Amino acid sequence: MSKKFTSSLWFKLFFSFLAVFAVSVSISSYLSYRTAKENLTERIKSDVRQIAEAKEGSLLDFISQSGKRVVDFSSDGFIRDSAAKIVAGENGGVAGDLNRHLNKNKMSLDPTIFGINVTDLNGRIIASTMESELGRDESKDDYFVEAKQLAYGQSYAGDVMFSHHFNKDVPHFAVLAPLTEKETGEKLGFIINYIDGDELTIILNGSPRPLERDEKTDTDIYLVNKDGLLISKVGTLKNGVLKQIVDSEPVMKCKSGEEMSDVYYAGWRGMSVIGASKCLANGWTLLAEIDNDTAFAGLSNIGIQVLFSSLLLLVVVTSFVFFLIRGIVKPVNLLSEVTKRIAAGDLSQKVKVRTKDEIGELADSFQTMTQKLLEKEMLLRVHRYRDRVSHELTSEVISQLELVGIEKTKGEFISIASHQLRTPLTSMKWLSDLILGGYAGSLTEEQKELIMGIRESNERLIALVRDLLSTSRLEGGRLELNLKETELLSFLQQIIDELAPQIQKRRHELIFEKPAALPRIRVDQELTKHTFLNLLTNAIRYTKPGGKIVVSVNEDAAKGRVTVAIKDNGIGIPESFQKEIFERFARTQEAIQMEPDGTGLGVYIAKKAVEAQGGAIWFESKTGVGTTFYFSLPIKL
Amino acid sequence: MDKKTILIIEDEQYHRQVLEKILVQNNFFAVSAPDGYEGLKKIFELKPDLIILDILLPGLSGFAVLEKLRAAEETKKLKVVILSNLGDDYDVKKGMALGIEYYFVKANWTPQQIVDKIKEILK
Repeated sequence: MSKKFTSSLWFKLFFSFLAVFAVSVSISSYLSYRTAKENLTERIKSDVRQIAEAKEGSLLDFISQSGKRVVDFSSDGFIRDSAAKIVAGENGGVAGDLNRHLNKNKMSLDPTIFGINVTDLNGRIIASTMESELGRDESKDDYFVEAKQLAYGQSYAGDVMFSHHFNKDVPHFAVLAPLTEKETGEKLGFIINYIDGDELTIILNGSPRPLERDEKTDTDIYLVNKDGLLISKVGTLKNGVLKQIVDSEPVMKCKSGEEMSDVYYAGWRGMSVIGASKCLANGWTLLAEIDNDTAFAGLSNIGIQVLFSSLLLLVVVTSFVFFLIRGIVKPVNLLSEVTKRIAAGDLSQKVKVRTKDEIGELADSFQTMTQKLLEKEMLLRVHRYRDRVSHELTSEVISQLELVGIEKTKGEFISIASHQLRTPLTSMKWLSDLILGGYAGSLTEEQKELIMGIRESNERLIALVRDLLSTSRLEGGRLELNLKETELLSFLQQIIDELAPQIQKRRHELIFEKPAALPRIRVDQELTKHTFLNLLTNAIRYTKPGGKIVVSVNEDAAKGRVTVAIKDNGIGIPESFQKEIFERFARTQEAIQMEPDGTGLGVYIAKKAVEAQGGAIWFESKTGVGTTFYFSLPIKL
Repeated sequence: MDKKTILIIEDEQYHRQVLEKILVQNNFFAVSAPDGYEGLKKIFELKPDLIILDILLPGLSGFAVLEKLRAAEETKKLKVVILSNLGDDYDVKKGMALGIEYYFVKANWTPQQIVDKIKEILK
């Protein structure tokens, strides 16, 4: 097929479909993916915000609680009194008692506290839950400096830093409240609760050890102090607290006093995150973050799933469409093929489309049309044939048929005529014969004469009918020759014998010159008889009585012919008449005088008869001398 | 000497008349039938010495009569001459094939000639 593939029905249908399908699937996939992503993003956003909010709340609660705790401790009478005493210079077991009190009764109240120190106004530790703490100087510590302004009932929470207290060097933060004299309210010093930094992590993450990174925490929640140091534990960082600098945007912004509302930023670990931040009053930044990869991990999973199922769908639908299109294109192709063949002339092609849809209908009507065409062509052929046949019949065959028909009709006519004519003629003949024979009584001479007249007329009529019918038969185009091997000499002799009465009556002498030997020849006996009989009859008739007739037969082997001659010494044929002699009813006046009974058909019939056998007839004649008629017949017919 | 019976089967009245007269005059016993059917009846009835049979007959043709009488055991050896105006070779051959003694073309024979020939045949 020379047709371009791109213009074929297949191509058009299939790839149009494919294009449409691909485009719509792509669009919808993209849209749903984007929607999903957006939804997810929104969800994550709100999640982190919520988390941040919640954790901030918890954190603030905790800090507030811690504050309240320390304030509560600062209101403890024993502690105040003891502190006052120690500050006043009293020694003794006051410190020890206080220490014990702090341990037993205070620290035990709150597991988050890992140590309590009581300091004087200068910052010197005067009581502690741990002996080794006594006498240390806290005055240089930041929180101490900050706390100096506090009044009774207020507390201050410090920043997270490494504690150098209680034989622990762990991240902690201190919460302190001023101690005052019970009565006077005079500031005595401070009571400081040391809280484990892990607590912050616990509050934020629910456990002191947030899961390792590879166990996939969704959200990292952590705190960063005002110096940008990480102050709670985060994921993989084992010892990041107070070591890791977090300088991501929200931290920076909190530093400049502005809480960041944007959720997309680059995290401090080098990956993009979605996160919410809360700037705390004490300069800390609370961060709840989820890195993009983790955040959208599910999404990419979904994305892959969508892609995969789209592809699967594509394959399935493509296959389906393939068969569907094939179901359309195949019959169309088939129809096209068949049409081509029919156009090429083969009307016998059958359309094998069997679907029950519009194409099937088309095929059906096409089939019907072909049938009709076929019929028409058949009819046309038949007509052409008939025309041709009738044309041929008209030109040749019909004329021949007509001839045959005519011949047949003529033949029938001749048969009927011959019988119908002869019957009454025979009757007349026989009746007159009967009378003349004396069977109806004896006759007078006159009666005899008259009846003989009747009989003679009758005879002439019979002869005429016979000759006419012979002529009729001989004149027909197709005369069937009835050839028989004949011994010609005896055959001719027979005829001579038949005419013996007439010969005797006219007292003619007849000589039959026979050759020594003559081969048997195939002749039509009836026709030959016609010829010989008529010619001999003429010789007898048209010779004055007492004449001489010589019949001779000669074989001319070279020419393959046998010639019969009938020579008479009769009246002869006048030269002026000689050319007419072979015509019908040709008789000279003399002949009529001599033989009134003659029909004028004898010679004509003789000629026709001999020529019908492929022979020839001719004569020599001179008036007053005689006539010799010759006829020849071919030896081999 | 027994008179011989001759049956004439001929539809033409004058022909019948003449033949009957001449046969009777020649000392034959002449019976006539005007058609083939009657002729057959008479053949089976009389079993004549000779049958003069015309061919063109109303109803049953001469040849049919001939065939029928040749087919029956009791009549198949009867002598028949055909006396007809039909003279075609074909008819003569057909008659000969059915076993006739002679074929006369009426127009060529006088009644006396016919009777003479019959006498010859019956000798």
